[in-house]
Amino acid sequence: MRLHPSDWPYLIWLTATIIGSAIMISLLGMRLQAPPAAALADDPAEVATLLASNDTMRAEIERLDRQLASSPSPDGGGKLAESTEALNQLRAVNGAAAVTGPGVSVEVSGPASAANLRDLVNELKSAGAEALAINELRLTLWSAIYEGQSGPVLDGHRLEDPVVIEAIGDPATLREALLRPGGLVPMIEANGVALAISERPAPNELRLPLALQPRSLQRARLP
Amino acid sequence: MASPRLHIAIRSLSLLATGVLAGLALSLAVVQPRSEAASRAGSPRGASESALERLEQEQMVLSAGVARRRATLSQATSSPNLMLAQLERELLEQRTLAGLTPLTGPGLSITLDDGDRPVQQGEEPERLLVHDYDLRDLINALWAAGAEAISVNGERVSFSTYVYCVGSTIVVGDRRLGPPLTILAIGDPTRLAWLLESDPELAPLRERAADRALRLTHQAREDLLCPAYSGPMALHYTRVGD
Repeated sequence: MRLHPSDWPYLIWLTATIIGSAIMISLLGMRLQAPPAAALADDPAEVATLLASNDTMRAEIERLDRQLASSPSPDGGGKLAESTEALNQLRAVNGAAAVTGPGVSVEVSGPASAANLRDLVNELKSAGAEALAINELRLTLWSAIYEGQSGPVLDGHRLEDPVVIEAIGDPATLREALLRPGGLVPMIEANGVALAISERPAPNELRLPLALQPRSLQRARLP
Repeated sequence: MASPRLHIAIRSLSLLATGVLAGLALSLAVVQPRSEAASRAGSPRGASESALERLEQEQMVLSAGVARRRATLSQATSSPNLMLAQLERELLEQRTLAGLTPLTGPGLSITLDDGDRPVQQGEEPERLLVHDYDLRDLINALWAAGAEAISVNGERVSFSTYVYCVGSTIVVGDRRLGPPLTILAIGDPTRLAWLLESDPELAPLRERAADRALRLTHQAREDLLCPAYSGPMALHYTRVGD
């Protein structure tokens, strides 16, 4: 077939369109084929900025609490300081404040079930744990650990392996409670789960964040 | 005036340029929606949040905490009595959340009791007893289903509550309790009932109950009363702040 000179512009346009399509498809293809981890990883700079910003806000909260505690009490007595101290204690209990203290860190690796983790938390509470966090998620009274589709879940957050439980309390008592002969740890380890328990004796060695989902009462009311 | 050859060259180049642009646009329109769908399908965010999301959530909570304290301090200078009243209000709110006040409301009254069939030949009698893990599973599932307050045989569950078997009794916090266990859970009665009857999370407990003939029953109520927690709550090792 012989092309007429008037067909050339159409031919040029068609060829160029094909070239353009090929370029775009290859560009999109490169984007899709990028390693998932790289594509989905958090931006380290953004994470660092948020970490610094959150540290600044925690320091500001501490400063404001100190300022509040030292404000002159309207009754001229220590009522204000007393209320502020009581409030801080309760915030610590309810996970409404970040806390520090000595205690233990328990690293759980392998096929641990939600029931295993619940049992460990129960054991630590019975040994006097005052505050707990799992994989840097603070436990509250209302926390629930249950089986998700791909492993244990705490309050809607999947717990990645290894699971690290941090508990504030007397380090030796907490450790001994877990390691007593015939206790919970040998039973869990028999299922192929590895547990590494380490004491954290320094006063500020453990730092547990505040709870991410503060609870509010919808149906319960004071009598 | 441009020569005919130059004119043809310019025309060809402009055709080439518009063609390439048309190709880019066409393929973008066709391929982009699919690539976005593929990206969404491969995203793990539905299953597990990133560190960034967690930090953003934490930032929101911290930011609210800073704002609340600044408002309180601002009142400290303008109207100290008002500030003290606000502190007292927050104190009551935190005491209520911690379980230090009684609470009333709708919810479920659940009974968990030992098995009522005879021990079979070769069967350990303790199989028919309610065990600590039965109660722990139940309490855990009730929290997951949105319970706002729980008590067991009149003992309010607090953060420090642990559940243990000692002989044939169950220790809840500091109290030894014997079956039948009456668990009161304030919350949405429909949701809590679904949890007991159908939630997969409680399937193991339902199976254990059937296997061991444990009696697990529940009744919706509008007027439950969970008493205040009366055990110790002092912090000896925990310090607030960084």
